[in-house]
Amino acid sequence: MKKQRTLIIIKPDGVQRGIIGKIISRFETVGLKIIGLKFEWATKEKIIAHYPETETWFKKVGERTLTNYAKKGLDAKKVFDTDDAIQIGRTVKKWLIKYFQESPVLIMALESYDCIEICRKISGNTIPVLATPGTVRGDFSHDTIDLANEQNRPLRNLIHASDTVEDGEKEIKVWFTKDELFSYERADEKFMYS
Amino acid sequence: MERTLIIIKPDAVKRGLIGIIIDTFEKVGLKLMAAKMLKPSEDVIKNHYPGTPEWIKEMGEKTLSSFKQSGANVKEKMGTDDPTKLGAFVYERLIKYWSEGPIVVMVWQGPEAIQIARKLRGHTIPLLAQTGTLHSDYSFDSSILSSSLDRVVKTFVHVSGDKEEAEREIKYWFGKQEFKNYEREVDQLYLK
Repeated sequence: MKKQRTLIIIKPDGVQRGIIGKIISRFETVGLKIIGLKFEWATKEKIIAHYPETETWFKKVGERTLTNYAKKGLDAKKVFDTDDAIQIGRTVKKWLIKYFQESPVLIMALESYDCIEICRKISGNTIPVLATPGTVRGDFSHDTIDLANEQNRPLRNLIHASDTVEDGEKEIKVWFTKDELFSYERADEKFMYS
Repeated sequence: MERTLIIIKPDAVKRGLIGIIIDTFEKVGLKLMAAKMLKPSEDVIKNHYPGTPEWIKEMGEKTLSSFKQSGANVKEKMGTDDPTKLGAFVYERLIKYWSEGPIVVMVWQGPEAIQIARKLRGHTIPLLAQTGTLHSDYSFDSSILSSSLDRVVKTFVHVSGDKEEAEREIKYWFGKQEFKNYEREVDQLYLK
């Protein structure tokens, strides 16, 4: 079996609320290895590179937003000046860039067997109100889509965790250079894997 | 606002203590300004320390006195009781310790940040550190143990000793980097 790598970002709400250490510990205690770590202001270029600059992404995000507005009986046109999914997706991305630049962010590259699935499990549902207790989002946040839409902002959900093995590799490349990633043995590694 | 340099050394990284150490300084209200994981070369580690003859001698004298305190025979263990030779010897072993794996170098900011970081880290030698400090709660290392194993005491958290040292060390590890402020939840309550 091959090891996988995940990119984790502790977003500004985690930084501003002083829970960086607690979130990092959640991943460390499970036995994942931190092979890269930095705390810095995210540049616009990196955020843009992180979220795919594709029509597919804009459309997906825009359509999700439209669905949520429709469910609530709200008029998306009033907020976005359009009901075109792609245009809405572009606006949401602008919100995301603003959110990511409220403070520095903590960026980590993690490595382990099944790293993607484990990190997603630990992070919890993307929508904090739906995240179960015992997950980072479930234990440390409670934001909802309704509230985020009402306040014209993206969900404040504390962390980003890569979706797939491919995303993990791609995102790590966005945020880290090769010489910022390290190989070493955790003190408990042989007790976990042998 | 005062700033201090804190380094998480290789043994703490390998034990998965990064989160706990960050949490210790974070929950007291200090603000993380910068952090990076890196594996410095021997030269980079060496130059983190002043490395002057006086400094080497002083380190040798510190070693002498901790041997004296613990009742162990310095000459038997280290082959010399000359402070300069002893200091140089310890310097080499220090570099070896720092090279055991990646480290995390950080800048923290807050009122009296240097003193607070020193207090929370505790005595340099874990055996002598007070309970409730990082060095006491997460290590049993001591001078006797480390010298019996031909290594330095694993002081797994480094914190700047004073203002001068903090300034020098921050510049050394982060160069001309500026640390732009941001707001934390405690700012409104204590800093305004």
